[in-house]
Amino acid sequence: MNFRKYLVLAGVTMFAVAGDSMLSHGMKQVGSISIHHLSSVFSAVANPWVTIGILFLLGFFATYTNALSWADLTYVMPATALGYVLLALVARFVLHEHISPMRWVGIALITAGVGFVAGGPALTEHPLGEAAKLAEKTQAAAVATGVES
Amino acid sequence: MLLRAKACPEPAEGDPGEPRDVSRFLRHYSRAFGSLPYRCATMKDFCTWSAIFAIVFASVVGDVLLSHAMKQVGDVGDLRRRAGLATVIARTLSNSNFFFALASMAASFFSLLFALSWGDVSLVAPAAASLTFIANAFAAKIFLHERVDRRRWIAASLVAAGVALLAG
Repeated sequence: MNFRKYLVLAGVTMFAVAGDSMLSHGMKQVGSISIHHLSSVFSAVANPWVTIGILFLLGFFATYTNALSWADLTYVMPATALGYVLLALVARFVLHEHISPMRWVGIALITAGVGFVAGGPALTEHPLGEAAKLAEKTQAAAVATGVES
Repeated sequence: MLLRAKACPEPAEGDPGEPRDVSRFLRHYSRAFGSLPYRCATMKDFCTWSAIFAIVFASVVGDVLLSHAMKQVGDVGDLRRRAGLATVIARTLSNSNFFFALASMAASFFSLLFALSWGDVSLVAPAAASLTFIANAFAAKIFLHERVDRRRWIAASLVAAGVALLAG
């Protein structure tokens, strides 16, 4: 794990939270959509908040796929769950909503879960994968020294 | 996408209310499926839980396939430095598992719409999110052969419990 990878994990969390929040804000302005007026979905996309929300969710998907390329699924999922905590804190300190004691317990549990998983290794090293890497290195070395492999 | 685990009061019939979050918007939108809730009235709980399991199943299949696809692609950061961004995009888009994952995630989204048309958002969103964390740990261990040690089990359980409580 290096700084870039922590940055990607932070990106997954932030993009998801920002995208969902903007999308919900935009949809609040657009109003409900009925199946009889499905064309109004297109006018919803014209709403700037919805457009920016969709762009952020694309950012979320890009960072999420990036994270999954070098970390286990069981690492990425809990590590990015801080988004729930972030949303609750925004609700409390920005929107001044009331947060019940049960929710505070929930926030504490998620934070503890993230702390647990973040302390461990990010990727399972498979013996087969290591063997393949070793073969690749040997081949590269052979090519570098001009030996036919 | 994170499921919004947030309770919201039932709006009056015909009143779309003010969708404060995505879940509430989805609930209004899913009402468009019309007669389904009435047909299902006697078996409402069964239908709701079936839809919740459908969400969890589709979402876990999507996550596992996406994780598998990206492991086949390789570390995106390293690959970009070595071969450029175009190669990264080409290699990702030429992976069939990537598209199966996208299809599965879309199925999960539509299952969410159905579930929200039968059940309360305060049940569906946290139940689906919590169960997805646990089911993902099992699926990753079985299909991706990830080493899910005690530390990761505890993390997945704590987050699942936390998400469930956050909706309360």
